[in-house]
Amino acid sequence: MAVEPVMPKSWRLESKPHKFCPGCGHGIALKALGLAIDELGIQDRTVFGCDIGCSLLAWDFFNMDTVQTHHGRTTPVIYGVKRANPELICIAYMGDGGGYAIGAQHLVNAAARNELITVVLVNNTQYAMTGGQMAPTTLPGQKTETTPYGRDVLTAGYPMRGPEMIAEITPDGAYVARGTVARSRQLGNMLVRALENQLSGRGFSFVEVLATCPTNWRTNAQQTWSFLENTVENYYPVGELKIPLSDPEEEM
Amino acid sequence: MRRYVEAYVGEGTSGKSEVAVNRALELTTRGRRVTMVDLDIVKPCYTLRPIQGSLLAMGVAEVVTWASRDQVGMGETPVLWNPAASWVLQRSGDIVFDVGYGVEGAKALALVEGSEVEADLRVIMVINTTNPLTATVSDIVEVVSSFPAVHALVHNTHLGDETTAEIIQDGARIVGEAASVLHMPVVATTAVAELAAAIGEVDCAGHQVRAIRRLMTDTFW
Amino acid sequence: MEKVVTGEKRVFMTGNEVVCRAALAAGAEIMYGYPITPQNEIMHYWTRLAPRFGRRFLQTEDELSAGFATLGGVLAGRKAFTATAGPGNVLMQEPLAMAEMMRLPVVSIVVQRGGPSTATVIYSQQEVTLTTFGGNGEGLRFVYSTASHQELYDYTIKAFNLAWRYRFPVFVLADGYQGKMREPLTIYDPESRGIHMEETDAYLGRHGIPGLDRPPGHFRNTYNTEEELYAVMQGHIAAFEQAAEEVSEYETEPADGGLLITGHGIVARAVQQAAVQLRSAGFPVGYFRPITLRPLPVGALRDTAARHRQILVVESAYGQLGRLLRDAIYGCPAEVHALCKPGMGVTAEEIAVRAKQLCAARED
Ligand code: SF4
Repeated sequence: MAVEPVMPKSWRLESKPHKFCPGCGHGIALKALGLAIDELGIQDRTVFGCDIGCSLLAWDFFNMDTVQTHHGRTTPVIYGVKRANPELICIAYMGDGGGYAIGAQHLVNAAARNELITVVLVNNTQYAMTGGQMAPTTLPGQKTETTPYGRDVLTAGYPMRGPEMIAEITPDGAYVARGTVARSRQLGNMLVRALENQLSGRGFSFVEVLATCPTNWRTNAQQTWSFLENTVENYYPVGELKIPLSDPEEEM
Repeated sequence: MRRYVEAYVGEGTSGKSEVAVNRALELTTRGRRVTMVDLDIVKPCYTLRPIQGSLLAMGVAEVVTWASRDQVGMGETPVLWNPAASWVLQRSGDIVFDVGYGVEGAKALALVEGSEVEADLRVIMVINTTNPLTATVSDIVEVVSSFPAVHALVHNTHLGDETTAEIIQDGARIVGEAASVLHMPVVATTAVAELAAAIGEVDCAGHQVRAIRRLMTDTFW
Repeated sequence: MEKVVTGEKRVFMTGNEVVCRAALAAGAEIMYGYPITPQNEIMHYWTRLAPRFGRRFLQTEDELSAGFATLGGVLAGRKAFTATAGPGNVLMQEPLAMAEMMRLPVVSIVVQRGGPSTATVIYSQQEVTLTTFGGNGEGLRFVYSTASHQELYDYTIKAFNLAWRYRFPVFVLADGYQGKMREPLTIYDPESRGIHMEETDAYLGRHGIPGLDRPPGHFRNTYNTEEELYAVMQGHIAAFEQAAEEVSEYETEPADGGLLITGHGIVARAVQQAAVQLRSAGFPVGYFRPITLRPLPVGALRDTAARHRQILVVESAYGQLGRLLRDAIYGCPAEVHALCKPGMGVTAEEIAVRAKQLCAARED
């Protein structure tokens, strides 16, 4: 019997197959996100914002109102929407360059203010859409188009540990986690908890998603998963970094 | 001889600087030694600087403000505290403070050493009823109550060049009523000379009318 | 919603407070802002008054965020606005380019300060080029240059209406003098003057399940082929040109065969004063003041320019208005002269001196 792949209800059939490369982590991340939205039944009041970089390819991905913004600016557009209409559930979806480099001030300040939005940041360790340059998340020694001899931390600086920083600067009430597309069920649970955090009004929620980019990593399927699960996850530990103290599940 | 220590506060466009400067000149013409202090640190603070020279020429003993030359090299219009202002209460003679607008402006008074224990200090709030923030009795009561320790009011309703005696009389009624709710005296109604003459010695609410000259027009703001 | 103003009222206040009161009267629901002089008092008065009328405010981390959050507010269907100046206006151009591309009705108040760079916080007309054509785009925006507190009030209200009617970003271009100056004006409730306030509607978060009850709203500003972008731009440009006819505004009093003095914003007051004085002294001097710098009243400007032998462009900048005007009147035989005082105010007296020299040179 053929296995019917489950398509999340909140996905838009008309825009499938999606625009990402085969083996890209975005598809898995967005599937986990779609299922989380389905589980919470919030499709009709969720607003999705995507950035510049490969995340923009999600501009028509969902059966949800969507705005594609500028590089790094999805965070302010989305908290602008939330402030203007607090009834909406607002998701800002971006890459590591958008969140940690050009839009870092927005992420930091939105987190510190405890804006009631959910930021989902896909970390695939480099700038993908522009053709594989070094990103804030590129690993030490990792080769990219702008670190052809490998990232030398003495000249190119150290990578950014985003969730660790966000966990540190947010007040109680925030939810911060790092998931991976290699464990999509765990990632899905994190996204549900992140969105619940917004729904309950507890505070800011942030999920970094470790993801694959075979196109720019220049890796075959086996190498892709091995790099993600061994090298990347080794450098960036997966797990929940901050759970609201007032979280009933945590109290149990 | 009793000394006058008066601080003029108010909302933007109330005319507090105008009233303060005229008060300093009035005291000067009575032969008193007057120090005029620019306490406006609500940016940009241009109140007295441009007319410093003419105030001195008119007999004001000292004008504590930033001189234009002090401002060169500071970059933006500075909201810097003038250290000379900290110690003015130590000086002899009368002191007239022109304080920056709004509640935040009025708080600058706390930066003057000894202001909290100065027995002679009177904080006088200038009211212009053509500013919507202080247009009605309840507006005035609310605004005056939000300011730190106001002792008295000056009624200075005006519409710039369009001011008429009727506008001032309308304002006088409103300010008079607010003052009685607040249990506060109205020291005077101030108006430019010809309008003051048209109104007479007291206005319709019984406030003494004081003629003033418009000097602040030379300061632009 | 509680009325902000009932009836009409003659009042006396600073320009920044005027802008705040006008935005309230226009029904602005949320302001996003970042401190920069000389516009700070717009935020000060807004944060003080807005809560009384159930309006909201967010202080963001910079002008990029203030601009983008304002786009968010508009996308959510609210009348949203921001205010800025100088280097803040530079950052504001990025979000405003997105508003231009996506036809988002954003209102921005610009209170010009001295430039380039940080310069002074006081006054200039040096943000004309930036405000009319800033951003990586075609300048598809409306820019009102106000000259008095009354105009600040009138055009701030109008800015919200135009933005929502035509769906282009609208700027009210003031300056530090206007922001801090005080003068009388009449404030009013727009509806009571018969000004119909445009309805807003949401781009994002409309009623119903997207894909089931209605199509989802998918809004983007990026295209992957030239043809796609070109088609979109054709539509935008046609809409802008059509609106330009209705939107452009000016004031003029020509003096056939004589000298036409032009200026905008607060400088236009000095220009007008100089022209009136010179005329009563027997000099053939007229004036032209564009109220909209974008779109410029090109037709009227060309007609008026053609009736004069000389034109004097006066501005507190080094030829920013001049470039716009020369471009608009290209081919007109009148000689064009300039009186430029970047970052400095201009008085009617100095304009008159220059105008007399030009008139005299012409007779020689
Ligand atoms: S380039 Fe990389 S990140 Fe972009 S779609 Fe392809 S695989 Fe995904």
